[in-house]
Amino acid sequence: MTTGSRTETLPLHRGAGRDVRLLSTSCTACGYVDFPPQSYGCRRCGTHGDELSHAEIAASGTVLMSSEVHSHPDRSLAVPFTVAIVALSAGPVVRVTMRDTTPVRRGDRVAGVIVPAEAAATAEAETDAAAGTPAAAQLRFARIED
Amino acid sequence: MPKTLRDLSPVYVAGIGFHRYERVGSGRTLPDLGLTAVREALADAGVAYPDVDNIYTGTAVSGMAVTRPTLSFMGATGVSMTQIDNASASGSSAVRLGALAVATGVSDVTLVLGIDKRLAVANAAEHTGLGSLVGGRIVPATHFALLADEYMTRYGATREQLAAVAVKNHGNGARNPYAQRQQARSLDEVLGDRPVSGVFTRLMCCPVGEGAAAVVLVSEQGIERLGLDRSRCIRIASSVSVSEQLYGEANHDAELTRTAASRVLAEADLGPEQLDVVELHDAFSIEELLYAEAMGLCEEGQAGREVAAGSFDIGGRVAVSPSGGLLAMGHPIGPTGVGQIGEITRQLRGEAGPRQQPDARRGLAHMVGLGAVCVAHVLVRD
Ligand SMILES: [Zn+2]
Repeated sequence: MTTGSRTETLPLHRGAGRDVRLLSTSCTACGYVDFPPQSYGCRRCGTHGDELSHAEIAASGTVLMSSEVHSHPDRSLAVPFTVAIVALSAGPVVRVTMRDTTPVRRGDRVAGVIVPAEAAATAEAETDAAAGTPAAAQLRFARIED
Repeated sequence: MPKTLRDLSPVYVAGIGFHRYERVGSGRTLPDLGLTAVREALADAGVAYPDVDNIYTGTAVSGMAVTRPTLSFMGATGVSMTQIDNASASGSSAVRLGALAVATGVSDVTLVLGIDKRLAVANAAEHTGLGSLVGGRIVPATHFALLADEYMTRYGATREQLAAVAVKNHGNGARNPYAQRQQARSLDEVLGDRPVSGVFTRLMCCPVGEGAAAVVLVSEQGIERLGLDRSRCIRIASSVSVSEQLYGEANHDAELTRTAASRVLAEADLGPEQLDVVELHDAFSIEELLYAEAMGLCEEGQAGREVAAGSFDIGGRVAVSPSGGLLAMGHPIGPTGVGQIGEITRQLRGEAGPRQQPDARRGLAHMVGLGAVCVAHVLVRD
């Protein structure tokens, strides 16, 4: 039984290349599907313990909004880069880092892709470790060509 | 049903004071900032420091135990001192708790100080152990650049309309001696300034500096016992504090504000069309458009046109951020929400000089705090 007191960061995704899935916090009590994975409790109904699972969900969805960042207080983070908020097809609304600065617009379909570490921005590992997310350093999102 | 402010005894703002908001690194100390604001507020109210029976200090980035090291130079009275941190809404929350203390009768004279020097910035959200797909990439400017992108796509709003918010508020700040930015800016200057994130240039983002603001809150008994000038007392008609819920794909910040604004107006028995002045959390120019609509100051999707048409100017239908707002007056964190109450009090007294909204009788103050929380007040001149 999970107690909601664990402090280690859970893995955020599984897979490689374009075959990548996100791990969720899924509540069997109320049906809410949330991201990121955690064992503290359901952010909708408060249920905790065995009724929370970390089911895999598709790392794909639709862009709600995006922004190209031109300056960042952390000078070790290479600019420009693009971030987006994506409505995943499984439900959660997540903030993602885009693979490159190719413009994306509301309604564009995007999916996760694992990129090699050297393709990620400089000082990535350091920045993401500070935010407690070393495992996420290489997951990017890109537009699905259709 | 829990009680609201209007079920309790009336609370008045009797005095206001400021230390100008400035860039971090001014060299001024916490006592330099706090004593200036507090002495000005007490003098404005006609209250002596020993008459203060309760002090709340709103502060978020200056470390623990700010109050006594800052205010011990007012003399030793043994007065209750409590520090309140609610991120950007710290000052607003200190005002709210002060208003409740006076309204319930446990205090007759509460001094509320908002103060910060950006000495110790720590964000608890980074210590929850939760993973993220963006690391530290989404700082507040980018969070709101994302919302600006969505708003512009949804309503066809333009860069020029977003920049016009900054032009208006810098124009107001140029008439406010307490503002950090006191320079009027043209549309070209705002649009041509250094790009930050998405549509925002530097002048469409607030400066986070340091400073202090103070207000003196009093009860009817306090006014009578101390012989205060009732004609300069402005009543706090309602006070609301809410935290974020789950809004799915909707704009979280707008929905949070919609909840807070509708409640604080309902508790004051007012509609949004009855407001004369509004001080809102315009840390980034898009926020004025989002919150003006969420408060009901105009139709959804119309705020950009309203700003361009001058509806929110001083002298317009409702003056929005006549102080200059966070964009020009500045956002030193702890002081900001207290300063909004000070500005609205000055406006409702008719003492705002070159930035006076004509015949202002009703005002609303609104702050959003990281986390997220929203705190709002309605002030009225009776
Ligand atoms: Zn649930």
